[in-house]
Amino acid sequence: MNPSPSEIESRVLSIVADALDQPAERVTLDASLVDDLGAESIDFLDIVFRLESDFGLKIPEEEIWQGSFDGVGDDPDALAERLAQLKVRRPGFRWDRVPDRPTRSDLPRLITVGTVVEYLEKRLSGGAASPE
Amino acid sequence: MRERRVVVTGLGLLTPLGTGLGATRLALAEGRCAIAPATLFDASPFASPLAGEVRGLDPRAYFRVPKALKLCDRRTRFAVCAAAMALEDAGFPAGPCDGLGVSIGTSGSDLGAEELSAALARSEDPALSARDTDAFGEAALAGLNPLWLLVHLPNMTSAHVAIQREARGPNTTVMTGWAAGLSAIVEGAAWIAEGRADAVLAGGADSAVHPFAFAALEQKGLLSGPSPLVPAEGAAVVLFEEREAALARGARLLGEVGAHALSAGTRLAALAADATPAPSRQLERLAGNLLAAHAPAALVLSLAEGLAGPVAAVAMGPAGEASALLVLPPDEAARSAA
Repeated sequence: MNPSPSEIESRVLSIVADALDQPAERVTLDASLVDDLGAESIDFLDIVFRLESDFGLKIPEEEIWQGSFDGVGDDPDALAERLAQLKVRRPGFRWDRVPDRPTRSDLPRLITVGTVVEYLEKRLSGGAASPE
Repeated sequence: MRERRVVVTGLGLLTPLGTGLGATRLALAEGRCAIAPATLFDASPFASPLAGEVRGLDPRAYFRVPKALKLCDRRTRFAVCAAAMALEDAGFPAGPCDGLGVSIGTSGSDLGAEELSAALARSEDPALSARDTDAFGEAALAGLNPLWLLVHLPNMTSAHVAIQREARGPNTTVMTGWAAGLSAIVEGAAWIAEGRADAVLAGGADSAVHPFAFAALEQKGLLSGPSPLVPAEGAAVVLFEEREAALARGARLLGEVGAHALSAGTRLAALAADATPAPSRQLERLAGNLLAAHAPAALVLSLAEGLAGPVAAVAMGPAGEASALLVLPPDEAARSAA
């Protein structure tokens, strides 16, 4: 049986708090994993592994980003165009945290605890990760 | 150019007898014994289940960035804690330091034995994964957290000390068996003498309380016989500073680095014969053998007593690995230089 939305949420909150060594009260749904909770690149590997083990699924990187950033390279215009598309599909990301001329290394700053919960809810309800 | 002289200004110690130099010295003085059957894993299948375990340590008190704890195994945690104690003992200024190096020696990692076994057990055919490297790689490693590698990379011990203490000078983790801690201390002193660093956190950190270490010691026949070895764990770190800089900041000098040897032979024998041996046996009797951290721990205990004359720390391991370091009382060194 699939876990209920509230169970998914509480499991995600606990995994993130544990992986980032943060007190529960700081791990809120709108917290950016990077800017608010101090996640670094290796923490994303850790969190993805913990989520995959806990929920029994695989999380491909392209799914988080609604497609691959491959080929975009460091061209700022191509990246801006790709981000504009992503913004429509991932309204819950912390778009306010992205600088005017973002680079690819700014991407992880978009991800919040809430967007992780939302992604898992969609995956586990059997639907696509998000509407196309 | 005049040779740069190397002095000890701070001591950090963590043993099964206690967290900190004071706690360990008190336990030694009272003759309290910390040896008991291992609790960190089931050691009952081995010839002897006895171990010297570090208990009641709260590593958070010593970590600037506690998130890094998930990347640190026991010996690395011990190293970070002992290094913090040495800096505090020396009254060394906190904050980032470009001239501060880290040279810690350790005999090896436990390779996350528990995590590895769990990953093996989860694989489709655990028996096949246990004997076939391809099956192991595909089935068992897929079930391991990617951070596993980062915990057990050999250089991580000194790397984490540097990260937590913002020590931006040279950095190495020495892994020459039981001689590793003392060899790392010799290395750290050389960095200062050569002008590569102005201060160095140098020492040994080890944990032999895990199945791989017990198995290796048992294979060598060291866990049985009339005086079986008791695998133990802990860390001992000294802070070395360049003498003029240490005096300029008003640091207390505990000793000055003298001659050393990095292999067994007449030179090492001469060093050992020349000086009072560091209190290594009493420590082993009450706490067990700290392997790569044992000789550094004995050296730290000698320095804490206050040197009445030259003291030699000597480390010798079962594979023939050896190192020795002579430390002189600070005023004696001054007289001999005059």
